[in-house]
Amino acid sequence: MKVIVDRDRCEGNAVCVRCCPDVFRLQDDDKVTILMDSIPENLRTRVQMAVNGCPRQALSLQE
Amino acid sequence: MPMDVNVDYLSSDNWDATMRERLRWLRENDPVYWAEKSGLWIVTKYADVAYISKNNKLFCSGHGVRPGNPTKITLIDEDEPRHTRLRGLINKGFTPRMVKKLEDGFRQIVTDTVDKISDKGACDFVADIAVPMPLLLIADMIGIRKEDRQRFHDWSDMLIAADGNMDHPEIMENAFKAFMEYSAYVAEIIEDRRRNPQDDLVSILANAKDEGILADFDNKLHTSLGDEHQKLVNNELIMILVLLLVAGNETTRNGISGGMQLLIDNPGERKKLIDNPDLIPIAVEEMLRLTSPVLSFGRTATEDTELRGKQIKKGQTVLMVYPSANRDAEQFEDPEVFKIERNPAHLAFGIGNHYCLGANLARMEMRVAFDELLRRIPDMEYTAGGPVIHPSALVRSCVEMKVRYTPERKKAA
Repeated sequence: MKVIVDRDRCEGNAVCVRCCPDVFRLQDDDKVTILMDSIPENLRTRVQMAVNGCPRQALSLQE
Repeated sequence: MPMDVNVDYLSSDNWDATMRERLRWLRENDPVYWAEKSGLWIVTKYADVAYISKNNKLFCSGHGVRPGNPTKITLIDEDEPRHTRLRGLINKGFTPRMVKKLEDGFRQIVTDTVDKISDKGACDFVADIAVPMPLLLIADMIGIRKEDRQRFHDWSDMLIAADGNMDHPEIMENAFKAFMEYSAYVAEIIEDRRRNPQDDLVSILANAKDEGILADFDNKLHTSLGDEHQKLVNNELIMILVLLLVAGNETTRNGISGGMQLLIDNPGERKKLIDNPDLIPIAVEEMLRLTSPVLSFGRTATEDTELRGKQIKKGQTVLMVYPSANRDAEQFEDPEVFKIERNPAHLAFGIGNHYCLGANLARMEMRVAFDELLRRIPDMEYTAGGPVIHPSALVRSCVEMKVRYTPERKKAA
């Protein structure tokens, strides 16, 4: 599983960073960057929460 | 016998201590409830509040989100695509990077505030701590002069009191006066920033106004209040600054007083936090869950739809009750229990495209406040009967919480 971020949508609410700091980090421009190419099984629930919780729907999942 | 749930949910008077029981009954028995006396649906479960919040096409904000108060206040009652354009603009003042820039200044505010009471051994936690902390930060962000902080405080109180009190002429009169004074005051700041732009929020907004991004509304609801008032209500830049004043003060103030109330009521959890301050950021999330300073917001159905078997008609309002959603047993185990290590995915800031713009700021404020408070005054307890909470339909309103504690100097000696 992969997470994709739409950087045009991202506005730095940092909901995903709170959900799963292992996968999401904010860069200096206040937009999120993804720290892992492939999401391990044990982080799936948290990542799904991050995707659901994004106020701008800037995150999506790819199997 | 079932609870008496057939009350007017738009009247603040009904949001007293009995409301929690009423909401629990609704959540467990009739979670999408037609409140006849208010003419809207009461939505009390987590999943439904999240569903409505995230379906902003089906449940829109553009007809107002504070049922009973028709004044358009910008951003919170805007729909797409304009909402996102506005939000992208105002958001520049609230990103994690900006919040980080504000943190040192806020830590100083917190230190000064605690300094004033730390040796006294007793204080009113609301007036002496929870009120000044967010107030001084927002005042600095807007550019309020130091000597005018008390006026800023009074305006904030009078404006927030208006919600749910449309039927109290005296309260409305005060809110109107506060609005006029505050508007005139910020109009001067706006003019100043227009001429001398700085790296601050008002300069960003003044620039946006000049570029035509901010509009003039066409509210015609206040004609009885005179032309000048009408003009100000229709000035979006002024209304954004009204929104910041109200949203940035009362909410955080109650997050802080509600958080301390939970710590005093749960000494075991407080001890854990004092022993391990690294837990403060996630403890703040649990405080937010159980306090839920914003009590309710509404949405309007844009077409006929169905929720838990109830037929919601186009044009009808649904009222989402956040403290109820945040106590939903289907979402949270032992929902009434305060567990600082829970790290809940609560809805205190909402969810979806209207997610609280100030969430990063509020989290920082609560984290810094409790960091300082627990380190310096770890043994607060109630002197009187605990917090005094005014009934309110919109924002939790704790007006007094008398506490005592070991004076700091005595402790050091």
